[in-house]
Amino acid sequence: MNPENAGQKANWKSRFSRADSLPPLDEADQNLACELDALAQAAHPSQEFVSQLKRDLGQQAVRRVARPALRFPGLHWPGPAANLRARLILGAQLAGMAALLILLSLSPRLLPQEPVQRQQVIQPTQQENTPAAIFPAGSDFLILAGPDGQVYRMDLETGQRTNLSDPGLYGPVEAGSRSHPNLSPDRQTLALPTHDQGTWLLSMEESQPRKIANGGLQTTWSPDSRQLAFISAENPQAVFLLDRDQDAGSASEIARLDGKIFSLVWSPAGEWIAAGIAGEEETGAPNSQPLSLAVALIDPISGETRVMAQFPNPYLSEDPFDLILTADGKEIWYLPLMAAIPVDGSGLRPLAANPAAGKNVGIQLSQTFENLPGPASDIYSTASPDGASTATGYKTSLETGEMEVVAVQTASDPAQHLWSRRFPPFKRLMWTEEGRSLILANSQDILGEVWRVDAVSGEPERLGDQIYVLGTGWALDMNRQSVIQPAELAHYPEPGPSENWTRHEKIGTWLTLSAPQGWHVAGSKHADLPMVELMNVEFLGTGMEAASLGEDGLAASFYRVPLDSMAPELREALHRIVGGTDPQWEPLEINGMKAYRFIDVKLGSDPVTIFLPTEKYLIEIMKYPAVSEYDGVFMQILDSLEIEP
Amino acid sequence: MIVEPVIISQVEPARDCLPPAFVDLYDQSVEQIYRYHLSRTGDALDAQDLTADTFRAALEWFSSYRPERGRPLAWLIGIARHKQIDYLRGLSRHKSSPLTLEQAEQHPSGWPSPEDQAIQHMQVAQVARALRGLSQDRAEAISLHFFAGLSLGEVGKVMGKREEAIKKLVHRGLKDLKHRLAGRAEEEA
Repeated sequence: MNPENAGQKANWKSRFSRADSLPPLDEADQNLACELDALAQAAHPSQEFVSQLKRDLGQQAVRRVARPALRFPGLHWPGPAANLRARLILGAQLAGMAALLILLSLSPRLLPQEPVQRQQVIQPTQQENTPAAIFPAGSDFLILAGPDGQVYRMDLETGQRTNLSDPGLYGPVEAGSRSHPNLSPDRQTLALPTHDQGTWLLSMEESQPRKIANGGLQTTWSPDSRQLAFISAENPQAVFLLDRDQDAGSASEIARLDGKIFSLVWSPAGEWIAAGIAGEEETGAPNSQPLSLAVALIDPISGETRVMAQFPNPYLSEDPFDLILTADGKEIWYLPLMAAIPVDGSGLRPLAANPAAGKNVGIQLSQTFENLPGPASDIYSTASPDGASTATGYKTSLETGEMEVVAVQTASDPAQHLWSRRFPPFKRLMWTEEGRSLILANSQDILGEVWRVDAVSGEPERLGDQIYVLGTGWALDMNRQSVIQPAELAHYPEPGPSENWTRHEKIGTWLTLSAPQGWHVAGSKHADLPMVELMNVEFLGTGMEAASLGEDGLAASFYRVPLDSMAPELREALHRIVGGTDPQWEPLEINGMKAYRFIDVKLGSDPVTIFLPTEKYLIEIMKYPAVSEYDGVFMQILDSLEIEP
Repeated sequence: MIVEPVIISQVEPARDCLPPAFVDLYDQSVEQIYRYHLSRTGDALDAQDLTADTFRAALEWFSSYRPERGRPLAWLIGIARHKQIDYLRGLSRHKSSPLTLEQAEQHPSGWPSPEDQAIQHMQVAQVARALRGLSQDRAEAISLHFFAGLSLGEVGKVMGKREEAIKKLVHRGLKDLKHRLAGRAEEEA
């Protein structure tokens, strides 16, 4: 394994360029890339294994005289042929279902329903196809797809499934793509982008998929469901408008923006469409990242465009996040930057939240950290439709991927723990619209299990396996609006003398520290590294992240550097963020702790100060309001920190 | 979905029952699938088991594969990723030991010597352990690109992300991996 191959290294160096918003790989990274290449090339399965497996596969092929119909526990995929017995079973089940519906309509609705009854309703059958079902008003449904690409609607109340696409068209590689399945607000039509088979409109009642484009579109529906605004990968700067009943060829371009559009969302009242734009903007600084972000409003009738906010935004995340609308439609939130953008043009508002008002904000924020390594990387949260409860799933074991879901009623004070339960790995947690169930599923590119969990009792029910879950009707219908109301800018309670602080023992099982009363403290483990999180500050082991936005200065930048090059790297990072002249910095030592104070970079009226508590543990700062005011407090917290190995 | 009956012949070797396209796919991709699994498990025997599971499932589903949806390797990788998830679930229940020199010696000749193979797998095991400390997306992008041999664009298709996003994942994943490998080396020293 010899990495000293100049040609290979040059090849690696050239793969990442500033055109990709990435700095070139340094020498050590190039060496590692070459080593990985060499390691991979040297790895071979044994010849005996390769030959034996081929023979085994041949035997397996012989045994496949006639493969039985595909079966999924608790959820049946249509079999190849109907027979008399199957029809009798189906008839009996439909009769049973009708009786059940009658009973339900006559009796008071019991919450939760008996899982056993539901399980009976969705027993496997051998019917050729599932007839269209009558869905009780207000019931929620899942959109599912099988390995054969067929898309189904499954009513959660009855377990009834309707085939929406035959032959199948779903290609299981959409997860993570910016093209999401998107249900019209009237719940009649699903806009379904696929990876390489174009974008389709699927009726929710019948199997007549209609292809509207050859590529995958990112879409947003008008509130009346009559129009679809979209962007395409081929032309990501333009926004098009399409009437639902027409082909994409008749779509008209309504706006052209200065950059690639990464998020598109139609306002609740229909008067504007918000677009998130990733633009190219050189700040002129050495090694500056060209990526900037902007949010614009587009008038869907006139096409008039108004840029509401622009962010110089290096190293924000792997990929831009979707815009979120507040429920009242008055603000657009961009969570990675903790920025609220009022649509009345009154300027940016930082999205800090006080501990009381910030509970829901915290839940949403946890979703923005899912790319971080370690247990903290697998946090999935969802708020109930009425906002009274939350459920959070997190990984309990890196080895097995086992997840625990905790449901909490946050509306009560103090918050009331409802239930906790462990599940196999999942990647999505969705609350159904009527609020009675949670759906646990994998991402849209992973065949996996889907669970329904009673929101009150935590009673689980496995709905199926080996299936793709595109989403619930509720989740697909949200147009990515938030149910969260805007929170107020945080003001810490006065810390008071440290003798009166609260001692928090074994936060996250291994952190102990003291903090002022009323200061929100959380602990977790960030891969192998400890992390202490205050409501507005995070302390982390490997490096630091800091940024500034607006007068009160809040932002996060995923930015990590070695300790010995911290100060100049910080200066460059801050320079990119605030622009203008190079920020001047001075090293400090306060009570034995190293720090850097950036004189020209101010949050409010205070220059930014960044502490390096020890050689081993550095700081990651997510939000940093009025930092100097709390210099002493932060340092005392750090002094009190005890970390169990 | 109807599967045509296969006529059983007592005379023909079993492999002739395999669809020719599947045989081609197997021959072309068995090493890549093995390497992908090896990079995630760090264990040669587990990687072979998972490779076998992947191809058995692929054979089961082969009639539903549609060439117009993309390269068969990408389809196969999708199955392999699913097997990886199953593997991780079962890891705590059944964890096999790393390849030993004795086990390596049982492998037939024509491949790296047992000593080389043991050393190589030991190194892969280090990489696999370090990869588990990375974010899932970064680790997956690195495994697929370096070990499964997919291009950045193909990794993007498999992971459902744009190529630029994959570049970022690989770029940052390399840096992260470097730190983790260095950290482990220091610990071991």
